[in-house]
Amino acid sequence: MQPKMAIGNLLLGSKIASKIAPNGKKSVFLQAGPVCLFLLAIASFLSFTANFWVSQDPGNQDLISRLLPPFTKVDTLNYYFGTDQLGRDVFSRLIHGGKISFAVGLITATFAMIIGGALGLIAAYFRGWQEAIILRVVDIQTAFPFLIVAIAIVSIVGSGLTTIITTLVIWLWTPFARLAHAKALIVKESEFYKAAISSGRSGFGLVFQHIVPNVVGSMMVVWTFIVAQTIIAESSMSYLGLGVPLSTPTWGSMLSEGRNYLENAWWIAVFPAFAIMLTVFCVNVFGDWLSDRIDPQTKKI
Amino acid sequence: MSQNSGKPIVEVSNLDVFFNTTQGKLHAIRSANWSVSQGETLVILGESGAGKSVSVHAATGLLPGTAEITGSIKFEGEEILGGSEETLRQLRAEKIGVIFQDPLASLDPCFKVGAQIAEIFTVHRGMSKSEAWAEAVKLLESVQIPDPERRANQFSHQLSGGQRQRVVIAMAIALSPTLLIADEPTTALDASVQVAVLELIKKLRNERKMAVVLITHNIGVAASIADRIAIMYGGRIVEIGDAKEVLQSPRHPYTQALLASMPKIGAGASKRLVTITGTPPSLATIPGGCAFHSRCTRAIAKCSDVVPVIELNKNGSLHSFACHNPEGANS
Amino acid sequence: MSNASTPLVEAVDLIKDYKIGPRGSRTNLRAADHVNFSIYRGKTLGVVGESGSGKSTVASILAKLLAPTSGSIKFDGTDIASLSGASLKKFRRRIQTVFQDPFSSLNPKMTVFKSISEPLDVHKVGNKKERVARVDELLVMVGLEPSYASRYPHQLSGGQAQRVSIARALALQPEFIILDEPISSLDLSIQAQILNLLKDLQQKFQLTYLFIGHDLGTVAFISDDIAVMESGKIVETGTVEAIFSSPKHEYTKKLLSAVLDPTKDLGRFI
Repeated sequence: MQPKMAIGNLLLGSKIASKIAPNGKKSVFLQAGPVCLFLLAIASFLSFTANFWVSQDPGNQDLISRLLPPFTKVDTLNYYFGTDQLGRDVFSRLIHGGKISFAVGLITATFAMIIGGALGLIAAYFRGWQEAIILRVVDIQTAFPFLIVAIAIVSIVGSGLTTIITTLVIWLWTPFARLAHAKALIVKESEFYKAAISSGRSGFGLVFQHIVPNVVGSMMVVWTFIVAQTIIAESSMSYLGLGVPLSTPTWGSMLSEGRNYLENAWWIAVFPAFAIMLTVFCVNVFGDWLSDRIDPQTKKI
Repeated sequence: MSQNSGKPIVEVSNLDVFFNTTQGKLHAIRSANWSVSQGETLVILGESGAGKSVSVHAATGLLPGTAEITGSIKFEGEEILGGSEETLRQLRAEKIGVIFQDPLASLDPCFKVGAQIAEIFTVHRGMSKSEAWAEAVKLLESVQIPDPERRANQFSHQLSGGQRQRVVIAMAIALSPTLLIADEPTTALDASVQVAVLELIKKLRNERKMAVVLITHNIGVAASIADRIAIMYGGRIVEIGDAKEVLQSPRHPYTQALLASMPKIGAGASKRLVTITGTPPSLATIPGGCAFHSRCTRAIAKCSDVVPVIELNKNGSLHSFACHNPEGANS
Repeated sequence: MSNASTPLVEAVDLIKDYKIGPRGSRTNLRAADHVNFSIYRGKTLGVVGESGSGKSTVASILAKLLAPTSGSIKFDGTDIASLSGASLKKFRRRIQTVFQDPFSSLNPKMTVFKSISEPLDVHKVGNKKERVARVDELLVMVGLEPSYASRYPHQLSGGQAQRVSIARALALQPEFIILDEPISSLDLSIQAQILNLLKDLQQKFQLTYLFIGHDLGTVAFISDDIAVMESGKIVETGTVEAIFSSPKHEYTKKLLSAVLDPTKDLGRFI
């Protein structure tokens, strides 16, 4: 086969593919993305309402009942996921800990999106020195390893929930800025944008009627992935002692505490690990699904 | 002058192409019959969505895997439909050259132009690098690129659109194929460059005695280069025959309407163009019966139910068309 | 007010330079080179040229999307460079543009209604009800059913999308429309429909057009006069008849010889 025919073949394939029937549609509710979103919604709801339905106090230490395996029952107390080294119920710590993970994930990603998105749009709209500065900052910051930044901030401000959120927002606004900037530039080059200017649109009108609607879709997709990344990052920070105080259960701190007991009390670390994995997985699946919906032209037969 | 007393190179009979899509089986190309002989140029003319590329590339096995093809395709007298992937690949490498519409996408921007041509010779003819390079330069000369030695050392972005297309043509004819397929080769080019490229295709065809199948939606291009023309609409060939006959005495209502809708230069600015109402269908939405019936001024009841069969014009020429209600009797 | 003796649109010695190339060895690219032309009310000036001729640059300058390096555009006697703020907004009501790519011309996130009514929104014309009526009126004017108002661009064919662009351009009853290769991306049979539509609209509303194209046959059909551009310069202007029957410049002759006519050029490359 001629060497460059492969490219032509692909072109032909996609040319034909785009002209032939669009993709099939299963009911929206049965597709993987929405199902995962639903699961996440339930999980976060359960976590945030933990106080109302989880029977055991996550901070309640009972040294007699330490290191009990899952499904142990002591008198009237059901330790579904066992207990940790201080006799605290792993199940209730897991559910309560979810509060931090989900809260940090959602809050961080949202702030990062707003700040990063705004800066990216400013850079793209004005170009000139605004763009030069903002992009330079993005480049510099991307080069800094996350941990150094985290440690630096903690040493100044001390650990805690605000610290985590601040650190993560500072780390994670950059992908939003880059994306918003790139997409906004594409909009500015398109003919409908020129038509809008030609009609007399200016300033805010252009940004909010034309640029933002065409940027927000991809930003939402990135948002979902950043939520996943934040949850892992929070876990790492707590694991390293840079996050919330150890008495507050978080999945990360549970991992941290549980690592010394992997051999004889694996449940202390494994359950939070699973929780992190499943949450991140669901978020990613949802993000993929959303991404396909945003750009329908890139779907395959 | 064309030498169409040559032997048949491609003979397509009763070709049907089906696509398996998520919405069921799509009958995209219906009963296509066409052939092209050595030294002859067949032009497939139609608007977008007519199925021109699909039917030609079905004949050379370039369709995506979701396609099902039935019928008969003979290449130089031998049936190739149902042949092994290896046979087809050999065929495409040695006997068929293809030019696509966008020369920029057909060339690799990372390699020198000469190197891309030379690669064909090292891979398929076992030549050494220096031999292959010399052949490449010779080839660039034969496609009329001035200063071929220098150009061979350049990258595709350093060449103009017309030059890039010439390079693509050079690559297509490198192994002296018997069939050249040109899929909208001049659509992306300026008018003056278009003329030069068509001139080049003519020259190469005559020098190398190739059969040429050229796909286009431009009537002027079709008229200027075709020995024979096939008009496609809605996945079907609606009219086929000698270029002069089809263009000067079209029999199918679609052909007639299409030719009438072109703005004609010079002959006094007419007030309005004759148009065809409605839009051409895509391969996914071909109407039942005759694909053109909903837009045809001569449609009768039969047209929406029964697919017209392509029939020879009864004056003995090889001009045939598929219509239930053509103007005048079949003469 | 322009009358029969003063042109509606006048380009006076337009020059547009771009600095290109890597820093340190920048060269000048002159996209528009001393461009002069006039268009009278109700007439169409066709501009033909190949890629790189500068025709789109001129269109952008006319539409005040791009500022020239020097030279000026006079619209109805006023230099458009002097317009700003309120006077600029008024100007924008009188000149509109239709671009080549029907899909890039419509915001994919906006319905047909929103796209067409945007000029009305910008200039605060009419209340909600009046705008709906006006959009319906415009859709019918360009040959589309009013039900198309709720569609999105990806639900339209190329020809339909281009009609929507034309409807949008007409929304504020402009006097002058710049058409930058408006039919080049469309199928042949649809091109004819749109050309007829443009001609009908011009007659009905006394519109003045600048029509840019690369196909001489099409441009000739819709134009009264033609300007031929090459490398940023206008090399020849004249009426359609003059250009076709007695072209003077070498480049014009070259373009004419490159037109492939199905009758005259039958078998030219056999």
